[in-house]
Amino acid sequence: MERVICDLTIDYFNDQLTAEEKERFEQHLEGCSECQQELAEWQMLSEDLPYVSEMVEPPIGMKERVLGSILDNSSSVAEQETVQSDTVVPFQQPQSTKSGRQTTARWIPLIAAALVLSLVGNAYLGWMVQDQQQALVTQSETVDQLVALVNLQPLEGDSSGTASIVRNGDEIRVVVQASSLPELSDEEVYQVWLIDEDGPDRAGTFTSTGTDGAVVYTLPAGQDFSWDQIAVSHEPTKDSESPLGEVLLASAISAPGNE
Amino acid sequence: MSFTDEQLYERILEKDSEALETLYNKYERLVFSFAYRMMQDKQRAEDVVQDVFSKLWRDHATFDASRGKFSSWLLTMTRNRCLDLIRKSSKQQEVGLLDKDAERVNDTLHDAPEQAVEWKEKSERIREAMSHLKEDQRKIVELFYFHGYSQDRISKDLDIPLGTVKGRIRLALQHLRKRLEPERGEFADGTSDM
Ligand SMILES: [Zn+2]
Repeated sequence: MERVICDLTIDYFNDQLTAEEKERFEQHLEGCSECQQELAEWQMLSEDLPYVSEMVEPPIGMKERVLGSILDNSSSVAEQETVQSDTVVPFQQPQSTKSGRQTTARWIPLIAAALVLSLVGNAYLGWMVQDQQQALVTQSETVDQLVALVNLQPLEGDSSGTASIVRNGDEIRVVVQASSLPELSDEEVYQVWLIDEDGPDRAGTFTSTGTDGAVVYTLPAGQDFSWDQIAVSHEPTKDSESPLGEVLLASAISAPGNE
Repeated sequence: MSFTDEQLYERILEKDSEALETLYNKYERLVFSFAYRMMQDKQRAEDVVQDVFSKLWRDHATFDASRGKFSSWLLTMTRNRCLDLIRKSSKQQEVGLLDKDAERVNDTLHDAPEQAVEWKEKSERIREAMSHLKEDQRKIVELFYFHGYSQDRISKDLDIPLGTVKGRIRLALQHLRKRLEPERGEFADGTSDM
């Protein structure tokens, strides 16, 4: 029985399964490391093949048509997204249905891209090392589960940023990415605070390249996420035990669900 | 002045249309040529280009930099879109082993972006490697990758047992890979995104 399902990897890779077969295979895939590796193998083995294609001159006017149509249609979409992004986006357990899967996957790159682009410390390196180990795993497997994505609201200046809460096994990480930050001088740093009724807790400092910065804070294993606000402040040194400088960004967060 | 693909992608997430145009310029020919190779039809290939870049812009797509190069991801997305359209169209493509005649760009490289030169070199090496495959191996690669056929269909088309289809594909791809291996290093230093 298992064997039969595992034989479908190629047909899955080639999008040749019916909707039900596909769903069943994807469910199977989550728990079958052999299939995950085989899919990654097909991906890897065929990676160079697109370059077999003869270079063909695109039709005249294609660029104008393509970009024109994309940009014409997008202004209304962009407005909608701005409105929606003020709120916390809660994340459910990845579903086996197609739509649930896509919704989850859609936000993951925000974190990856933010991390890759921003100046980063050891936390980032740790993250990358860990992620490299997952490199063989196919994209359809959800390794890190994004529990919540929060848009950080500027309190001072025009900084902007996001905070993501990511669950990986029984570990929870808070990923903060910010841009348009004020410049730092001397020993100044940005400090991320997690705030609950008892006040702020330190959750990592970061500096910036240019005006962008990011930090990843890993909660001690097993610790519940109990904070309801997150803030980024501009601190005179990295040793501040409580916020001394101005708070640049802040937002309410809802605790990750206890699923 | 020049941004990495990942940086451009990040800016696209922030709805920077200039970043979209920059990426478009860089990959237009590659995506189009690959789509044309799969669809064997210019209009349908253009539709694929349109879909791929729309997806990049509108849906934020799902690029994860830790899992590979941007260009690979873009090409995977292109292939998936082609397969989707092929599957949906009632009329199946005919099996052709070679490109249909297309206006070759090789002589007009002077107005191609610099990436085109790299691509041309890479393409030549891969085609060279392909030429060393046995006829039936080339055919199975074609049916598997460019036509996206099911195992069942490949088995029927090539008249080989269903149970050996997977093994044959793997073997053919491994042969190809081996041929390319000595040269792969040149792409490993990160200077080439193509
Ligand atoms: Zn399996």
